[in-house]
Amino acid sequence: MKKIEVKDCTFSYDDTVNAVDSISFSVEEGSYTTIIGHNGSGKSTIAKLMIGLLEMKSGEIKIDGLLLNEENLYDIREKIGIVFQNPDNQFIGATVADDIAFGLENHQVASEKMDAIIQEYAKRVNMSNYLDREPVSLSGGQKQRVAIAGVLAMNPEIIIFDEATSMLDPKGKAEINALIHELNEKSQMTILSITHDIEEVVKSDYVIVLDKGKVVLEGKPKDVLLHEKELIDLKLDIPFSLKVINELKKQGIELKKSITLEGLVDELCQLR
Amino acid sequence: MPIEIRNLSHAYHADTSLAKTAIHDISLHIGDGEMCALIGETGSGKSTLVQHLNALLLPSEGELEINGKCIYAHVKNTGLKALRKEVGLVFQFPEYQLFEETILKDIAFGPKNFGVEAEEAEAIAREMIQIVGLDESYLEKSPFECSGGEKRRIAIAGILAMNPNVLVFDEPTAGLDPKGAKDMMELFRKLNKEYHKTVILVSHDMEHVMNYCDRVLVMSDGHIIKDCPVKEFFRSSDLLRKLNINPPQILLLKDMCAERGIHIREDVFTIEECVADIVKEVKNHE
Repeated sequence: MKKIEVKDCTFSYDDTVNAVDSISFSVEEGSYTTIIGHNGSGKSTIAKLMIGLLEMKSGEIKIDGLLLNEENLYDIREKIGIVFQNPDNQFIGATVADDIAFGLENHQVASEKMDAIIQEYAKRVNMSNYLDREPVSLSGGQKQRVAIAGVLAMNPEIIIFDEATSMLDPKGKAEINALIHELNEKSQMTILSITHDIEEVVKSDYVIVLDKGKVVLEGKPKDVLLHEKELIDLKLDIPFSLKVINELKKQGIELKKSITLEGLVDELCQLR
Repeated sequence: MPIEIRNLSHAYHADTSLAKTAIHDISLHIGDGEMCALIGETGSGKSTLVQHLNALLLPSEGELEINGKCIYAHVKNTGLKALRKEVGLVFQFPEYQLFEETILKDIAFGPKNFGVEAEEAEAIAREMIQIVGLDESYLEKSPFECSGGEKRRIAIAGILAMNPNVLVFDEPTAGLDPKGAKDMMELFRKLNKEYHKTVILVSHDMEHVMNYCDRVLVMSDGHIIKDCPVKEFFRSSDLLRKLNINPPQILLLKDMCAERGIHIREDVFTIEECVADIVKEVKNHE
């Protein structure tokens, strides 16, 4: 089933260039889908359109079968949450508990119920011991986990991560990536991740490549990532294993293309 | 004119009940023209350390000597302005600090502020925009019309315009696409090799550290826990794991190959060298 359907969607910030240009794609329910593209290719714009932060010029978006329009906006925001790049720009509460509560308060959840919900989601992201802490005393990874808890507390079916780990250190990045995978695998949440991390793309179910506000490639990573020349022309990266395989070819050893190191080493062992 | 740090400690909120020592008793020598990586987890003290290099923070204990200028703890230091010219600090997302109407004015702002005549400041701006890889046609544009990668280059040009000998970059490639990140690293290499700037790179990206830097400084809990040449640092993934650092892909590949009996030499760090070793192994088997 299609959880997100984007059809002929167009948006422009200044009426001269279309940041998103008659774009169409869909995201399968329960999938881990990645979107890649160079800076300015329209990735974040499409994310903002999907949650109704920006209004499209033409086209339509359906979230879980529901048409995105003014009337349905609040119902749609129950279904879809977003975590942005900068942990400091999305921490609004005075403490961790306040921050997780923010969305609940907006939804007029009764205060006697709220505590239990806050506890539950703080635990989910492993921040139970930090409920009274102020943001200034948290690391970037911890702040992002609080942002995720705030989103989870709204009980969405889809979460968009807009380069949510790009400002974190390797430890923070690993924590958040593990949490995202868990949400996808254990809770069957639909994940849409906008990223520059090619190794994250390798592990995803489906990848959509954007350029100039259009989809230029899409499919399973093992197919899409073999379009090496196109990817490099689009200012993107290719998996490390392919770089090694290409160099081996120059040295007269031709291997089957693999997008993972494991696959590459398996192929190397076949040679002997 | 190297950087000499002797027994440097820094406490935030010193002399209050909230006092917290962020860096402890650090001693360090960084020679002219080095390209150093400074790595460590968030909160390990990297930013605190580099902010001392241009006197944004002053030592609680110990002293620094940068290009012959000294800063001491417990005294009123003078001549800090001269020091700030020596060391250009490029923060994360420097593009947020652009503010002028035109790129020309933005780049010329620093030199003018340091007393350079308007005409000369503009000449400097013309030179700097080219060094960062943009052409002169940009100068009359508004910095806000430019892409993220371009804005970052413009911000760096503004720092270079002060002609610092030392450049510190804090996570300079965060948020850039892969091509933008690579171009940025090539720019730093050029500044180091051709313009002989001392470069200190604060980074979490081990691929960049391995491929572009000569020396690695690792911070943890306010201490420097490792200081060695880059080749020594990346020789074994054991050390990296102990330090909680994700090894670069090439080390992962070497480890996997070793497990399966394909031997790649320890001091191999590029794809080309790695492949040469694999080819040798394969030929030996034939």
